[in-house]
Amino acid sequence: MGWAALAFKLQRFETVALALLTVLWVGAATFDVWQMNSLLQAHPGCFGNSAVGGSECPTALAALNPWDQLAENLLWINFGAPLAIAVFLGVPIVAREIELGTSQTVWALSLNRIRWFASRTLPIALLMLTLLIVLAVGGEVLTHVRAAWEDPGFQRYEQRGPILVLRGVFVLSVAVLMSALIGRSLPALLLSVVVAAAVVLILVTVIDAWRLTESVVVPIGPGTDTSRVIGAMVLDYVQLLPDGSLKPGGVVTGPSTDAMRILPRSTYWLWIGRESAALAGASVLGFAFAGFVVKRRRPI
Amino acid sequence: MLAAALETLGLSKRFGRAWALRDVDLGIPTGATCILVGPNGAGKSTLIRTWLGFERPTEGQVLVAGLDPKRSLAEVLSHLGYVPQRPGLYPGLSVSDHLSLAEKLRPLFDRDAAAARLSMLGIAPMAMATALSGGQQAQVLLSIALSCGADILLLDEPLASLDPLARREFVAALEKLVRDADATALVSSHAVLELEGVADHIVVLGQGCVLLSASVGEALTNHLVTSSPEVDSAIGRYRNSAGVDLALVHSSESPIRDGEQRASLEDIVLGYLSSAQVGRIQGSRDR
Repeated sequence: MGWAALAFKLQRFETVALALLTVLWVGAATFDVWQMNSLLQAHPGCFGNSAVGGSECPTALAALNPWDQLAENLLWINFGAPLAIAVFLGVPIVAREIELGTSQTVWALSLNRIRWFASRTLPIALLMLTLLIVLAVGGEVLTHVRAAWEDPGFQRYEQRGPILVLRGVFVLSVAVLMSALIGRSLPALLLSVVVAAAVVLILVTVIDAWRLTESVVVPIGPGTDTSRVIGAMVLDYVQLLPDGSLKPGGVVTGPSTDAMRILPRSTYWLWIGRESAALAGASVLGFAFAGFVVKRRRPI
Repeated sequence: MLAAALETLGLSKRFGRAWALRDVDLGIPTGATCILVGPNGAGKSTLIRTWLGFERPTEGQVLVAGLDPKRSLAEVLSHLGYVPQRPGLYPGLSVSDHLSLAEKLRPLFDRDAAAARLSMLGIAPMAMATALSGGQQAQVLLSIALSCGADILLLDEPLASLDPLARREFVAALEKLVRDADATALVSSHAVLELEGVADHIVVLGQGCVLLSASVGEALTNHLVTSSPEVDSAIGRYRNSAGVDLALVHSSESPIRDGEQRASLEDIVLGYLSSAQVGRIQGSRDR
């Protein structure tokens, strides 16, 4: 019996339930993409940035609407998926062993507790990665089909692609840490949700502040080049004064122009890379701290 | 003289404000089978867990085969086989799965030996571990502990969950295995009578302190019980199962007098534990 089989046997309920839910999600997403694709192909002039319009377009748009709504809902599931999957899979790794008293047996047998911890965590991490990669790729496909297969840029960037996967990895590290610190599944589960959400919020706030320093100001008006805005990340709305300085929206009484600060679509991979690196770094810290706690803690 | 397999040097362990162990100095000789006796909360499990590196001493030091778990935990654990008080077996895993797990964790684990021992006891390899009786679960853990290449066994109340017949079988198996493997065993238990035949060393703990640590032979030679109520050199006074008030005293070189008799191991344990109880009552009055 390998470590993977052991992990599966010990967390049979969580692994089977989450795998089934992922399969359901994939089934729904596949059907949705098929429906939307059929409409896109049947009415190529009605959708996307290059849409030219036509008499059949209102009917086509109405037909697309429920499938678009389904895609929206599936993407919202993706928003919460890293948290839910990582917490449900991560918390039992150490806490359940402590609750069952099996930690006493295995930690007395294990000559290297860190190796035990790694062997016990790795199969669960790989399973979680598999599930999240499936959801991330599915999210990519859904977002692209919603954008009529044009580059969606920053649209729904948290609900697809690397950010979704790396948030899961980070939450897993928090869940394992809480599990090792507290040694009880339910409190560790609740605290993992709170701590992981708080850290992600802080991380996003810090990255948002960083984004502002590299943002581009786009005046809003009849002459606005909309191609610059499509797929961009809109950070905030400001007032552009004649001297080129910026003021928060709504506080300027003199002459000014409405504007927005954006990250252009072209910087998508740069910012995804930066946020991914931050999440990966935080995850490494989380796992290292969890390993430290496992090494030092009592088995009950 | 053989070196001590298990030692403590001025060991104290505190949990919050409560001391679980106070200034414990012990040496369990290599090859001995030692009974560790004491009431609940005396610090028996804490002592065992400190040798395993599960607890860190607040003061003092513990040694296993001359090694400090704080510095050489892996080496220390390679000497130790452990059966916890509460059988720590995985629900959903078979006995065979548990042997596979032990094989992964201990490079020297002898799976065949463990499987053969379990088969001899009639424990099926495909049986779900937690569906076994308490005694069988303890046997699974004992088999794992004995087959992992350890030369020192730490058994924390292994008899607690066993019925009388299973206790007798367990003790017989322990005796044989310790003898065959030339191992050292420390068994914490309340069942002094059942272990009396196999033990060659006894440690009595009370209130976190060592009340007695001696070879069984010495302990039996050096103690008497007397029914005389006026004896003032009593180690402890207690009422035996027949309702007779007795006192445990140190034996002298003079012949045994009327009303005195050689103490059994149970008398010795009861005498020392009652002395600890008196100490606790007096201690609380003094405070």
